[in-house]
Amino acid sequence: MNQATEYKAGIHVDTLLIRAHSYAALIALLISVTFGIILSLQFIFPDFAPQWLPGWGRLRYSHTQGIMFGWLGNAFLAFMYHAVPVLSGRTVTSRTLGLWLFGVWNLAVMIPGWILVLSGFSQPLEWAEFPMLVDVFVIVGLLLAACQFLPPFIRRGVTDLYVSSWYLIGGLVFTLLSYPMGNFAPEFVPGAAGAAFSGLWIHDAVGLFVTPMALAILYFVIPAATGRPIFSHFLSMLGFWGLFFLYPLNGTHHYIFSVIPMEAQLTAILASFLLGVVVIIVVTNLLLSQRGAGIIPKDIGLRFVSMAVVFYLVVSVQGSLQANMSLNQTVHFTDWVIGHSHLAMLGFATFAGIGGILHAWQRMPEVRYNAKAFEWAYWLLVFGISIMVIDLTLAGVVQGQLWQESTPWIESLQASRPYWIVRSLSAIPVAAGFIALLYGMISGKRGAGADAVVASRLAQETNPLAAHGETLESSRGLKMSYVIACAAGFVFFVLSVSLLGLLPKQVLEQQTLAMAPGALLPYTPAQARGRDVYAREGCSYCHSQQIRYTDTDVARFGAPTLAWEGRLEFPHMLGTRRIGPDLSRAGGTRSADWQYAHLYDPRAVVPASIMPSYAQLFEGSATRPRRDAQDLVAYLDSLGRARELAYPEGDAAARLAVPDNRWAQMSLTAPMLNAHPARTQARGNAPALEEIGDIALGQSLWRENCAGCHGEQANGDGVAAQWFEPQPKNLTVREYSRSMLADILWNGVHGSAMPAWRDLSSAQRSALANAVQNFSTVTQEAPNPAGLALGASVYLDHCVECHGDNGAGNGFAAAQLPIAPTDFRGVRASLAERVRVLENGVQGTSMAPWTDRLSSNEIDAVAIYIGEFFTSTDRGTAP
Amino acid sequence: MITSIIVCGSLLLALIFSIAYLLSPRIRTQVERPKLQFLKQVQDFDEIATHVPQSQQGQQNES
Repeated sequence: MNQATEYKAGIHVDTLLIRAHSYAALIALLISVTFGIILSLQFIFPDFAPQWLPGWGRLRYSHTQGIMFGWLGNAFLAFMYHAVPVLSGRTVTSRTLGLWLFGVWNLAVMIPGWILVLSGFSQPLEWAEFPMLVDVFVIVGLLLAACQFLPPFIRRGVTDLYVSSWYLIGGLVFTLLSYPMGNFAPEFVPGAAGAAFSGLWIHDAVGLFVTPMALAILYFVIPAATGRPIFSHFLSMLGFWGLFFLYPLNGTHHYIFSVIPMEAQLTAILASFLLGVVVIIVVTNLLLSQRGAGIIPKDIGLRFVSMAVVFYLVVSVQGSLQANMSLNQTVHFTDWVIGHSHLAMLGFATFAGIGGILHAWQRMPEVRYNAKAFEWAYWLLVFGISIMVIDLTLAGVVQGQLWQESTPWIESLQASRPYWIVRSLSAIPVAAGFIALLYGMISGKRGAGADAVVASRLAQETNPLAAHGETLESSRGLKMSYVIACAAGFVFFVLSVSLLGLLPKQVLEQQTLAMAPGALLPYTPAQARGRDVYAREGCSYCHSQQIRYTDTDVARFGAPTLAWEGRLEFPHMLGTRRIGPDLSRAGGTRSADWQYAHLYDPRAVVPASIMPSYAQLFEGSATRPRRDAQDLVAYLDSLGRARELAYPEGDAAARLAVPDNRWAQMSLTAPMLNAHPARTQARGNAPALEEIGDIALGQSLWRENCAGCHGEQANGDGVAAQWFEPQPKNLTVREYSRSMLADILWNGVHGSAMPAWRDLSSAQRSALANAVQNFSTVTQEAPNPAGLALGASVYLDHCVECHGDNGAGNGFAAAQLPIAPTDFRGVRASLAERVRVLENGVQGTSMAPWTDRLSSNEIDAVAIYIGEFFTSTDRGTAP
Repeated sequence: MITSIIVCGSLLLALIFSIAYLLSPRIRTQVERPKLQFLKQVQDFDEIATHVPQSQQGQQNES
């Protein structure tokens, strides 16, 4: 039997399994897209999701895992059932094994994975969100896939392996190795060293699972649909080896400017650049292979694949560029990266996956095929995804620019809003396109796809081998090329793990040993539980825990994160996106009641916040946190504490321990350990306010930043006021000196929920001070010499130990109090308010009610006396 | 150090592969043959899947 007939005799494609995986893929895609739409709407309407719906983070986990495993995983499996018999000339191992694979992939991975993640059992690692129990089944699934699809190549003894086969074999082998590494290693390797392994998997998931499968489809469908061989198998091989060598070395580019050793970062940056060059070679070959097919090919499978080639070029060049340090400094953590990942997964990989499925679908006479619906799907998806990616890329540039300029964080959210609206709108054509795709596969005439194939095939070359004077005689070289393809996966895996995983781990361990304090406080049980809540709810998707080694991060957040700071982080929580600010040094930055209020109703304290509410962690009020909320706040308050406790002596010792480590020195010599603009500080050192304050600006800043607590009219009755002790001040019954306002806005009020506002510019703080002063209704009081004399006496007996001789709030007991006593020189309440405070005290402070010790006359007298301390009457002026 | 090895190693391997491909007709044939074999396999499969005998291919085009 010659090879040609053997190919024919050996070919058997199991269409049942193609159909099963295709439908499962489409259903998983629609579910995942629904998650994505809900997520995107929450950016615009943060309270849109009802409380019974799982939280934002859990949906985000489900969205990405659904796209990668549910959609792309099933789509690739469907395609492999079509492609492997054609490529190898042999049937896949067995239908029974196929049914097991289908069952494991969908019933043991996808459905339990989603249920567990949505119920709060997850792993806070990018592209590895399913819990470890599910990871085991993913590995079982991958093993079954290897058993199903690799033996046909081996049994057939294919000598001259076509490029698609190289990618399928290499991809399967590599993923089998890298999946356990990326999903298990960070659970056992702490902090940044764990992140190095995570980074490898983040990139391997896309670069060595999704990309090889997608490229296998591209190389398969283009010649199959055009009826012409690819332009150059040499270039395709150059591309294969280039990609498999370089992709695994890219991983650490997800953590540029992190504490991961710079040598590893530079390796990843260089590999990213070289990868761009290789991709251009691959894409050139693929484009030349389509010559004559037209810009918009008639064959629907080829049309999707053709667009996938374009997306692949753009996303790869974009990826190489964003690994560049100067661009990375600006766009990392922004929506640019989200646009990039959507272009990779929804653009390149999805179009390749659809192309592969439709190519197989056309060749199954028993299935329905609606060409019109596929046409609609194509155009809707091209339009929707293009808009989404362009929009997110622009949003990323805007966000990055604002962060570089150190503008208040909330401004970057406000500036992003129009882009987020467009992103949500772009989901309409995307979702419609996917629905049209599914509709096309369940409607139309049975066998209509096969008719189209016949019509197109009649116009193609009769025998490509004969046309090129070749035979199917196998060449002497590359006798065991499938072994080489397997080896490629294995060798490059070992290389990447050694260079970008094990070596950085060793360096980071040495750094930890040299710089860490002798004893490191472990998490308390409450903090450890809080960390689990933080992980479960996906907080690390919006809040990074790594201050990068960039001037912008140092200015905004403080000293960059050192290796030893993550010594107890199993797994790490470094994060790859900042929708909210970094939390590395959140400990001591906000008061506990502020944290509770913010978790319960974020917009009550930060009106422009888009953080989802976590009211389910409370029993109906921010003042009644459940254990989860208490634990979470305990954890937040622990962040950065270890470094703070070691500061400054610990940093001084570390400086001597690593004198030649330039990056560590940058962290150890940073001007402030915690530069968070909201962190409260001791009074003093506040820059003076400008005399002129913009009224409109002040009112706008008031609404955005202050009204939630102090109320629209500054009566101290904002939505969040009820949850704070002490309650926000009623500013209408108080007048402040400008220097006092400068101090409060710069330093906050330590011990209370009143944060500092150091990220506001001088002009903004001046305008805000004007707004505060304009709320005041306090008038001049008539002199009362008799009252003054009695008041002075009472003050001396009862008040001076806290408020000091001259009312400056610096009495000898003041330093022992959690909240500093009021400095009467800079603030004066109305007489009635002073009396009220004396009679009732101030809840949440050391100021007690005095009615049991002072008579009514004495209270009135001391209230009058206190008002005399207020000496400053300086008021800002409006332009 | 590592970056130099990567750059030099990958460029050297690509160069060796390219020179061998350009200078040796035998290697060229070997390297390019899979694309032709694959196309033949695809056409064989399409014939089976859609039941159009290979002998009819091209005839309609010529007519």
